Amino acid sequence: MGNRTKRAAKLLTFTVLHAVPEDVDAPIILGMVELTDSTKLLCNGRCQEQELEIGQEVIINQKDDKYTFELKG
Amino acid sequence: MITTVNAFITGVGMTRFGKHPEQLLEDLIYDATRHALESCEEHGFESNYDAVFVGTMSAEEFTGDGNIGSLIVDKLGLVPVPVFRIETASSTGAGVFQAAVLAVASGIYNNVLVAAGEKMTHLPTAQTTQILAKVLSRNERAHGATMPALSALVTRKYMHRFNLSLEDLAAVAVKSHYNGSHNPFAHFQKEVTLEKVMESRIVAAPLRVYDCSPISDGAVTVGLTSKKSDVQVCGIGQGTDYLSLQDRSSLTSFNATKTAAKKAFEMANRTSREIDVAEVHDAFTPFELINTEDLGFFPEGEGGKAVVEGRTKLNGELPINTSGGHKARGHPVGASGLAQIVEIVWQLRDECDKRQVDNARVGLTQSIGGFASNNFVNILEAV
Repeated sequence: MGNRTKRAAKLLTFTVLHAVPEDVDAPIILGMVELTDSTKLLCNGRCQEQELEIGQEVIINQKDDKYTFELKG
Repeated sequence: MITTVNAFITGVGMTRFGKHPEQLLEDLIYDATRHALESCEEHGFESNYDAVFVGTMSAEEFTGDGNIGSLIVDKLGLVPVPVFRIETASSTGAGVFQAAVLAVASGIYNNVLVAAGEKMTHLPTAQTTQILAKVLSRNERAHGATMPALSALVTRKYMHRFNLSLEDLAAVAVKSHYNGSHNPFAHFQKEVTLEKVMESRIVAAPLRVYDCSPISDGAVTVGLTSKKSDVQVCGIGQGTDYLSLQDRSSLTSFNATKTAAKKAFEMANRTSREIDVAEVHDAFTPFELINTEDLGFFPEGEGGKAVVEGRTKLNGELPINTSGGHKARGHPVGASGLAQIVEIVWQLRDECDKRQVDNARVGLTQSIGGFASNNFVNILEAV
């Protein structure tokens, strides 16, 4: 548990969610990314909405069962 | 193989969809059933029933009551008639309809009442959003995903892939609200402008408030019989998909719809070109485009163009969502799939007044359960 791994991926699509469920603070960024083996993963974005673009390269961080992505470089 | 389905529609009825603060779920279903029985009388159909099929999606969570089947059959005064409760997420209204069709077509029951409803508007929106999100996978919810969030992911991908503009997307809501303005049972009965849609609050970018169906209360009842009537259920189909969106092969179409449609078209011995009028599940406006493509009405990526060109409006070549759809008629989640059936029955019986489609003989409904993980297609014909 508590393991962290980093992987390269491509951003397939993303959203910024303003209307959130009861126990979550708005807004949150969600992205669907594709890993090099074609696996898709839903991740939370650690970046600004304006920086995002479909097709860009991102880095995936895993902590337990939660995935986040950040921009490359 | 062509299957002849021995299931026909008798009386149909529904409450207006919208806010009904004074009525409980069972009151709404009672009212819808009363309207259906009046419709039975009007058309000269029998109104004695040997089974009741009830559909609600999340009644336990929304109302705090359980044992919904017994609650309804008791409220309707039909004890000791058998009752079943069916749930297939947001396609529940279609799921319960198909379960009842199977019961009638099997020959075990001759006259069945199908009643579907949901009571939602009394809870705060954030709580309702959370209840609705439970249809998603645990993994998606752990990342904060909701129905609008996943819909937004699909929308952005679709817009990027098929070069759909925000203006094109807004045209769907404008059409739905126009149709809703002619439907006395719709939650929203006012037209909206393209500007109003495009300036509305963002829910999950790029989706705005006017791209999302409202939270509504409402109920619908349909009578089914094995005896010939003027409307036959000619084809039914169901299809499933992986629970998580990330496990799907496509982010811009729904395989569960394609699977359901293939079965329904085969059973009815019809093609998509033979459909005169259709109700498709537009919980979010982009779904209408994806659905009309998955059903084979338009090529992939051209659903938006069809709306913009007016091909799906009331007097277009294939009117879609004449009721106003989930967008304008409203979306009491367990009831919507059955409301789609009612709209098609009204169209086939020439009972739609200002929103009536000329010469409607063959109609189709398509319903999405969860995030398109359990979808249904029904084909009805005037006989």
